Amino acid sequence: MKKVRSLKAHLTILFVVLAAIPLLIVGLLTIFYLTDTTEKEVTKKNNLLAQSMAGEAERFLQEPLHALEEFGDNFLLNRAFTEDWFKMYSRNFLKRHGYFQSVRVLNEKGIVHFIAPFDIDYVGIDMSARDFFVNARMMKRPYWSHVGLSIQFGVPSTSLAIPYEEFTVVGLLNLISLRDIIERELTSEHGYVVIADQLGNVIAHKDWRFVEQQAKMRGYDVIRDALSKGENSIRFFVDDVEMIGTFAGIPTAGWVVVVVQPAEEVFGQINYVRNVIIVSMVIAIMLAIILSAASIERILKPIRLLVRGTGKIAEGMYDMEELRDLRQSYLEVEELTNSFDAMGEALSNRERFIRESEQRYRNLFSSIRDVIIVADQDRLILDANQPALRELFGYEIDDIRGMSTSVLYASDEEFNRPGREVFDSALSIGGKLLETEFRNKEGTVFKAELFALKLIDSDGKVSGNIGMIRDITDRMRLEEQLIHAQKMEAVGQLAGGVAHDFNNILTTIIGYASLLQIKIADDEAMKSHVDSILSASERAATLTRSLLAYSRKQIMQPKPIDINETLRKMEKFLIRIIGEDIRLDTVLYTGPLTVNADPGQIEQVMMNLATNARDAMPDGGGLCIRTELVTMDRKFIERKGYGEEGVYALITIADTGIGMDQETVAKIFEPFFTTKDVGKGTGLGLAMVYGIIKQHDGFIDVESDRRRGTTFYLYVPLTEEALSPALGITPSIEPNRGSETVLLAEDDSVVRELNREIVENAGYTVIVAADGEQAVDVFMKHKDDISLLILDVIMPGKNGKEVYDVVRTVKPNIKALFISGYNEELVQAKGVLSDGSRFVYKPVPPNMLLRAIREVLDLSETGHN
Amino acid sequence: MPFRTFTALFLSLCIFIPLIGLFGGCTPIEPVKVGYVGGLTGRHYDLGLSGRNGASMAVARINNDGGIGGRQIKLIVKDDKQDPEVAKKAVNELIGEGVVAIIGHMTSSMSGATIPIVNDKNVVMISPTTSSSDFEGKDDNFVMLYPSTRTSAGHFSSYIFNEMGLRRVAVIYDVSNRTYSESWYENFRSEFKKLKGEVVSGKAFTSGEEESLFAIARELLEKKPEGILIIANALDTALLCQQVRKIDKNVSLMTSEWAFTADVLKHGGSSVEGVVFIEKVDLESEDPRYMEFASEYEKLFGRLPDFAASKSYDAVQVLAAALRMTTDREEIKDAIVRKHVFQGLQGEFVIDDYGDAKLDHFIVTVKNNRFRVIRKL
Repeated sequence: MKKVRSLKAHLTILFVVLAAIPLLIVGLLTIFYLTDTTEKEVTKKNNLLAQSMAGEAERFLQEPLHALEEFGDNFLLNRAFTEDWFKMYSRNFLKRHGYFQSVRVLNEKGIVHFIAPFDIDYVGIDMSARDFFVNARMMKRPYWSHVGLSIQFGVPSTSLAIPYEEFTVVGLLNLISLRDIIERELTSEHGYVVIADQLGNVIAHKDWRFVEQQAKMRGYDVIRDALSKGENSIRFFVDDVEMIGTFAGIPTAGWVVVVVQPAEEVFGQINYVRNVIIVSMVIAIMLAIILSAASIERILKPIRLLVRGTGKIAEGMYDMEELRDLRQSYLEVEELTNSFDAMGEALSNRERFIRESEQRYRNLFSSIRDVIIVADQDRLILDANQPALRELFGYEIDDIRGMSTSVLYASDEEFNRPGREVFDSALSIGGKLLETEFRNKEGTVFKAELFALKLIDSDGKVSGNIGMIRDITDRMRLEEQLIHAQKMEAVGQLAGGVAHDFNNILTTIIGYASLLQIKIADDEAMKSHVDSILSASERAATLTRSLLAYSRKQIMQPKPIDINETLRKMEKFLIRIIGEDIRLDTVLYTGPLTVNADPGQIEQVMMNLATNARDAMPDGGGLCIRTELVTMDRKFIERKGYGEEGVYALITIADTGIGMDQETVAKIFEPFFTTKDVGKGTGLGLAMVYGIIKQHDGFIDVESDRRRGTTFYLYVPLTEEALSPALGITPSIEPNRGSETVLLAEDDSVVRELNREIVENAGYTVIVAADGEQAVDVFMKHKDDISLLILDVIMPGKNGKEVYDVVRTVKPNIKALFISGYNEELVQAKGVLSDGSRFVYKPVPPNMLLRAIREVLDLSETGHN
Repeated sequence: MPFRTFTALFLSLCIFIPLIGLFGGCTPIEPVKVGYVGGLTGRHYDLGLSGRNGASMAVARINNDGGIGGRQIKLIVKDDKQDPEVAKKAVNELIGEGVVAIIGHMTSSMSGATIPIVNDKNVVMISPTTSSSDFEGKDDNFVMLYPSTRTSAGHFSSYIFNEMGLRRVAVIYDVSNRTYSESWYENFRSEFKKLKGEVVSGKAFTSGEEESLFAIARELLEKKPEGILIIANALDTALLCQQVRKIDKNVSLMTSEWAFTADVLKHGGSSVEGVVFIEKVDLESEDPRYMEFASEYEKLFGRLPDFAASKSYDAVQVLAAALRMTTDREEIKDAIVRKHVFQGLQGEFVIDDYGDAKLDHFIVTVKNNRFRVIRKL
């Protein structure tokens, strides 16, 4: 990643550069200019000096050359002369030209022929190997030998050789005079002048030791190079000290004069200027840094505060109070601060909106009663709605966050198969609903519905899924209950329907059998048969009533009764039913438990339950009956899965019998379901109990255990009405006979004829009608005669109640007896009952019919009383 | 705001210091100082100058190659003027200037004068050419790169007697370098005697102080020797040869290695033709190192190198090899002895525990004014 430079560093560098660059440029230009001009000046001056010295040296060399040439020429002319001439001439010559130390004449072989001053050692020796001899003869011109220290005289000397055809004249020249040339005053303090020979050996130097030691001049090679290129000045180093050498050649001998001056001395002034520039630059840079530090601080302070501001915003603090001061600094900063402020406010608002939105979402999420699990691609739990999770699974989200969702499933099987199926479907087709089993923190396995959706991230990519787990325990129980209720209802419908028609049949059988019994009173054998018919018919009628009771179509005559009272009255009867081997305990609620109930039906219920208890305890045991006052609230209803809020009288009937398995318990209230041997039970006992309690708007529950026996719970809603004395009907002990005229309306012709015969046999005058219309017509004809209407409730044309209503418009005090097999009919007939009309349900035994007729007729009379 | 000011000053310094470097140059690394002492003036100047030239070349070469561990060598040159007192003064001055070692002297007499000083001051002196047997086999601070006169004299007497067939030999020797020349003379005489040869005369002379070399030559020839052995510097040898040849064209002339420089040819001319030398440097060596050295030397100094130049070059290389092991001047002798084998211009050579080098000997003569190797002994 590219490194980001700080603004401060950048600006500081910029300041420094701005301060230093112009100074640097000016300084460098100045230095270059000064260096150039100074060097040129010094070089020019030194060059003049070198040239003048070279000129002098040149002249110094020209003089002996001319002298020796003259010597040679004379020798050539006077060769014929003897040694004496040479002695004389050379003595004068040496005296005249003091710079010659000696003069020799060598023959063509290089052997010394004459030497002056005379030296025996040198006469006759071979000098053919000497450079001056070799070079002079080779070049055929005067030659200056390399400079050496004269062995004889201890001074720097050079041999000048001038070749002639048959001899060579050699003069040994003392170069000590060169010292005078170079030891002129130099303006330079550390400078010096050197004369070097062809090999670079120092032949003149103010420090004469260099000459004596035949030292090679330092830098000679570069100087020689430069000289050959026509240059006259060069820089070179002596012991790491830079020198400027300015030079001029001495062509005659091939020597060079070099004026040497240390560069430091030449450029001293420039160095001073350079130092001044450096110091100025440093000062300028320092000032630039200080100034930049101060002004940058002023620029950077707002930025730093704004940076701090962004930090605060990042931490969620939107108060920009400390930025207020910045408004005073710069216009741009003020604009920036204002927009920053606005941004802070906008961010604050947006964040609040997001927070509220988040809170709404969170509330929504938490309030959902289904468990919502957010999982990633690997099915690891990311989040869940805590309340539902705790409620259903008992976990806290932090217990399971990051764990696999397998922790929630009942087993790996559920996790891998249905769980995977739903997960995959969520990712592919977008969701599938499955029922599967889960396990809560306690380890309890339960059934739930699982549904999943894709989890889409902010980039629109699938990043996992959202699983919804809905507990369906309650729903399943309700469903079972509904199915059960529907089944019971269907059976009830069936039973009720059958019972209606069956009652008519039984009415006929019983009626005619009763008539037959009267007619064959003397024939004992026949009477026995008819008695059997009547007995069987009676049983069939009871059966029909039971069915009607179960189907809740039995005619109920409810009134406020105290359940405790009813049970107390029944106690002895119940003891008889259960027998001696079974002990009866009765624990009754201390206060009255007033319910709106048909006492006869309540007795029927208790009787049936006692009978069942007895049969469950063939070897004896205990039966406990208890009454309580209970309140059903919402919790109770949720727990039990049934009920309706209110106050109830609870009758608990518990036995210590053999108990039942759950399968049996589930079917116990179904009609014709029995565990008893064939013939021992009808399978309607408990069905009746169920029907009666339901008809009383109550609830029934049963718990059974193979070891502890069975307990029934009967809940009957409590009424607040005061206990009222029962409107008991005093059974007539009078013969049920009469002479009144009766209108009998019955659509079933067989029943109509049976009842006409029964009623007529009892002394009444009977006018019959086949339906409601006819009944009204007949009544209108005999309205003054007819005292009582016997009406079937259900008839074609006009039903019983409609007939009754019409008749009453003509004869308001007319008495009526309704006959029906349906409770609904009773309802239709309601309203007339209290007006002295009565109701009997099919099948009606003849004596009961006659008694009812008598009662209605008598009642009205009583009423009149 | 003091902190900011401080930062500003600090930054200024950060910029200022490199600028000083930019404009003001930098402090040089202290060089390793090495002394050179030899006779640069006077009659024996030839060995001194050649030695100085060879040593300077070696120093330049080493410095060009990066010096000693990055340090340059600085050669401080002193002239002993062939005067024992001057020599002592020069050596003391060099030690005072902090040299790690001294290359020199070039003659035995001068070495003899200053060996006590270097032993006392514990400074190594490596002599390229000193060869008096007086200094041989001593565990001191004096390192001799040139084998002693004893071996040379032994070899040479044997050659003269057996190969040249001479039985009567006159000897002339220069007592201005007495330590060397007398040692040579004595060694030669005893060895030659052992071979049944006869030294018919032994003439001592002092360089530059004699009236006439011609008279000396005449005196030597009076005894009718078959050959004359000259133990003198090149100039004197050349002049003596010139004198002898003026009188006798046939007598054999021999010289010690002292005269084996270009000057003998320069000043001797045809008189030195056929003179026989014993030498420890092969001037015709085809070792590429030597050839390169010789060619460069000629370019720089206008003549071919002689034994003094090449041995001085070797002496500096010996010292450099030791300096690469230590720059502590008290440990240099040990380092040289430990190193034992050195690379010279003409191949490897050995320095023994006493600091004495072992070299081959060559018999050389002059033909057409050039040295010619006759034989390697």
